[in-house]
Amino acid sequence: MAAIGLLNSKAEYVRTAQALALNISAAKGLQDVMKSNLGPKGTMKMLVSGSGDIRITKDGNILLHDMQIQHPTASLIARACTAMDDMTGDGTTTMVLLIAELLKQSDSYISEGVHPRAITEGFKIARQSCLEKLEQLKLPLTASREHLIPIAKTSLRTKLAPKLADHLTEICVDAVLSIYNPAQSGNELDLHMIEIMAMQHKMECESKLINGLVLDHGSRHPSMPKKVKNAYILTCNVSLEYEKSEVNSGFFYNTAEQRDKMVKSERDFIEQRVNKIIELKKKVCNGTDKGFVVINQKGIDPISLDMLAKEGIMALRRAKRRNMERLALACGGAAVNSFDDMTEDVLGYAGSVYEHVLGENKFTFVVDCAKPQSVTILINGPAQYAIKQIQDAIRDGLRSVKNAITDGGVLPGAGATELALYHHLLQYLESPDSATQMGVKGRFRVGVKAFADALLIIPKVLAINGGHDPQESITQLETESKLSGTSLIGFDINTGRPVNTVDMEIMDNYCVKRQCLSSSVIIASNLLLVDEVMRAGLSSLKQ
Amino acid sequence: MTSQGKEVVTLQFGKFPNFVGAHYFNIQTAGFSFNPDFPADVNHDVLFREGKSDSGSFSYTPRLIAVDLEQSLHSLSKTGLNFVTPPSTSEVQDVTQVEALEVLQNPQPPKNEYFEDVEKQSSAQENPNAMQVDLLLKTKYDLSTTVKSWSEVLTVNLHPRSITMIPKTLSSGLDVPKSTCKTGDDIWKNPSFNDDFEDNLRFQLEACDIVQGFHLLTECENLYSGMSNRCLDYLRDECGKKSILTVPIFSLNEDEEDGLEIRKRLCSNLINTGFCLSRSSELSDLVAPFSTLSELWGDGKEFQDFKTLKYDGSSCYQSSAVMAACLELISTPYRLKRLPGVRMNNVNEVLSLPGRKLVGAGVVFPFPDVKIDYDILELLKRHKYRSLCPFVPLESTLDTQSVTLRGFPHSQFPSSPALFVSSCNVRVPRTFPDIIPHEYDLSNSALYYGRLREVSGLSGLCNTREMKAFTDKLVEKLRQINVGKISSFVSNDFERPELVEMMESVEEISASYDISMFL
Repeated sequence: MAAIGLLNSKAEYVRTAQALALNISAAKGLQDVMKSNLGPKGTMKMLVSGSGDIRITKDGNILLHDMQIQHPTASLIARACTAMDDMTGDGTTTMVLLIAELLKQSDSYISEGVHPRAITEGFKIARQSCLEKLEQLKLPLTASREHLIPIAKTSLRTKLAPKLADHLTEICVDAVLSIYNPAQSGNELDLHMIEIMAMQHKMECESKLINGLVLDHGSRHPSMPKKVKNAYILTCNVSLEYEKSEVNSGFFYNTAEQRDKMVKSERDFIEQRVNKIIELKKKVCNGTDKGFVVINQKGIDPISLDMLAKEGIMALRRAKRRNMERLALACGGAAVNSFDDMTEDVLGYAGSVYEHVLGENKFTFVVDCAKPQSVTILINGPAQYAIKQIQDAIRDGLRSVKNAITDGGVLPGAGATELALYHHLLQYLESPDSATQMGVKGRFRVGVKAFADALLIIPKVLAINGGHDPQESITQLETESKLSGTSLIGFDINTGRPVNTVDMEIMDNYCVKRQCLSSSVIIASNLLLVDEVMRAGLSSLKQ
Repeated sequence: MTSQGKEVVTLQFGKFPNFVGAHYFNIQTAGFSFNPDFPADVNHDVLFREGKSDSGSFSYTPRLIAVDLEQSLHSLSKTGLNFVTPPSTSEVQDVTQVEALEVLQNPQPPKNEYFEDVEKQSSAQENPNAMQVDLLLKTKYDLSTTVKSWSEVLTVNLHPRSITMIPKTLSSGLDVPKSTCKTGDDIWKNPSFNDDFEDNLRFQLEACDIVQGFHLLTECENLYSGMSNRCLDYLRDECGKKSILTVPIFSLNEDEEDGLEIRKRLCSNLINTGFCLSRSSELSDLVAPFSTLSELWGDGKEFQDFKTLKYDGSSCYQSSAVMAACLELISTPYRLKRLPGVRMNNVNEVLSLPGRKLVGAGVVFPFPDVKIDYDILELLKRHKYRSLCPFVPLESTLDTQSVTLRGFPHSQFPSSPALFVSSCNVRVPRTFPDIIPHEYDLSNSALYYGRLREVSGLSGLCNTREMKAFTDKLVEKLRQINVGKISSFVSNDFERPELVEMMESVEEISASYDISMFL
């Protein structure tokens, strides 16, 4: 009886083998649920909420959270997955499978009497060795189109139908390349500079890359131009809305006339601002065929809109905060916070600005910029759920391209990496040095062995999802990779035959694999070392 | 549009505020007048936005941002409609070109009586062979026993961009009643929530010509306190000096727990409330705490007696209805067509006393007298407000107040910047709980079908030194739990300096209600 039982008779607890069984069964349960998601042949899930909303996804992270897990162990794993998703944007399913498999493999050893500590130590050694090997396996790449296409394609093909995926692959890669500036210090790639905009269309479902920006609102005045060629663009964050001001409060006026005067002077204040814009417009545009567009982050009231419309200026109000930055990158110029002393330098330039109306929604396209460093991916879809699915896939695709550029390399996909690591660990166990140099002796060896076996779950599940016999496929893979002598041999999901992953353009992110290996070992080790689970709440201090 | 640039955007954070909001917007739609001979006195464009729905038809949806947990949407679809039939699997497959599709279906919640009748009505209208019988909806559907979520109460369609839910990935494993405002901060900062929120709010703002202000309804005792504080920061940043009316709402914690858990919850509730009040009185123009409890924080579970109402305070559905009625009354002045010049900031001006932003809201709802043959002072003397602010009876010294009276002609009263009278009654929506005694119903009460109930009402926002009772109590309780020391027991989220700072600012608020400060 556990000590807690003496102190609190209501405490619930399980110990040693039972506690472990509890954890392992939870992990296994998750594995069973998630198994079918892995790889391009995994089944899509359609989540239908009680209120009739649907969501199409294969993302492990979303599914995990949708299940509303109550089991403490399972929710621990789920949280690790969220962290993984936040960091790399991919690999959640892989991680769940790996954690569960590590526990499963250890279970058989533990039931034979091996202490969990021996296994976890073995895990640590194996992980260290694997991470070193990963570095060797890495295929270096440069930020060029042909190098990035495979990685984007692999990522997108697991989330979308192949035809759609291939179309989006190029869009994603081009989008990242257009905002990628190697000369910039730090090589920090800001994916926020790629705007993803969705349009719900009955007819059209082609997504495209716009070299410029698409804003999800239009001008609010009927007589403003709907299309402006050769446009100067003024981006600003200045309110053009009549607001009450602090002086306008009770103490300063005695009669209605005085109050009206007050209001009028307030109004004048806004009008002056508008006039400054008009002045600048006249200065730069008069006598030329150029147009003028104002994009304001703050509001513009109807009277101001009217004044601007009379001058033929197109004005948009309440622009997205982030679009201010994007506009500056796409069109040049700079966002201004005050209209005093404006010069032509603050203006950006776009070849064409036009409005597109779709039902209730207006979209404003700012295109034909000279050298846009901010671009928009425009998704057209027939239904909201289809758009959402594409949106999620594009996000993941962009992340994978970004990861590849920051890592400076990729890993062979289609189970090739796992297989290579498996072989590496077996060799490592056999090599005479391992016993002495790394301290892999006696008991710790089982941990390394369990780790190696667990890695094979990935190619196995890929094979199962593709409708192939897992054992047969693994054997074929092993022979093929031994014969060819490279670590690039992966598994062709369509034929079930071994293939060269480089030829087939199946690539995975280095950081995803790395993160996956590290985290899953930590979680699995923690779970293995749990030998008592208890639930004991104090009912009341007064009793 | 004739909103004349007086739009008010409503923001609702949490379950309870969404309940209040659902009732509030129900009351609005109940007040729509479709008879050109009797135009409504209230300008609905202030709270509603005209537009076109996805299917191309005309839509009139609240200018609203509703924030809640994704799983609490219940029957409300993200398209803003209740009880939507999901598209068929084959259609989905067709659209997404997916070969293998596995369907994971959550059970659809059962329709309540009201929605069943609405469905019957619409199917009767669509069927041309049906007899020419109008299927009338009942006057009242009391949902007290069945209601599970605010979405079931809602009789309005929302705009899809109004629904800003906290995604499941952020809320898993979260125990809302015990959460702290730091959790709210974290959720706010997370891009999967924040991007959505900013987009939606911006969308609502873009549709306004000149926003006059915001109603911000929030739960103040849990994580939403943190979220609403961040939201206030954002609003001040983006919208400058617009008026903001913040309504912190105290939750009803019904579930019985053991002593230690209650104490723990109480501690975090107090700290969250402290943060909510200190930040919101700094950033908003008026703060009017709402609760149907007359005492808070473990002092008692007595509910406020509204004299003319028979309600069960422990029911979220009924309590929120009372609050919604109050909000409807106090928000009337700046929505009247008759007074186009009155804006939210005029009400603020009336109530403003240096440093005092915390005001008490009181109502007499329904107003018991059918005829008034006395003047305004007599009126206020005869009908004392029933307060919605805990610990504050709103009885004696009301330093300044803004009074709204509905259901009586304005010509009867002298015009005053602090008295707003409208001849419109408050129409009671069908899903409003059955808490209004029969004798106060001013409509043709013989009918059970079709017509809506109508009542008159009186409300006041009062800036009074009595508010000190509320703030003092908060200070006392916060001192009692010894904020600095106990924090780690509640949560490790808080750091000492900010707790001390919060404490000081609450004490400062309390001090500004001293009698000496008034002179």
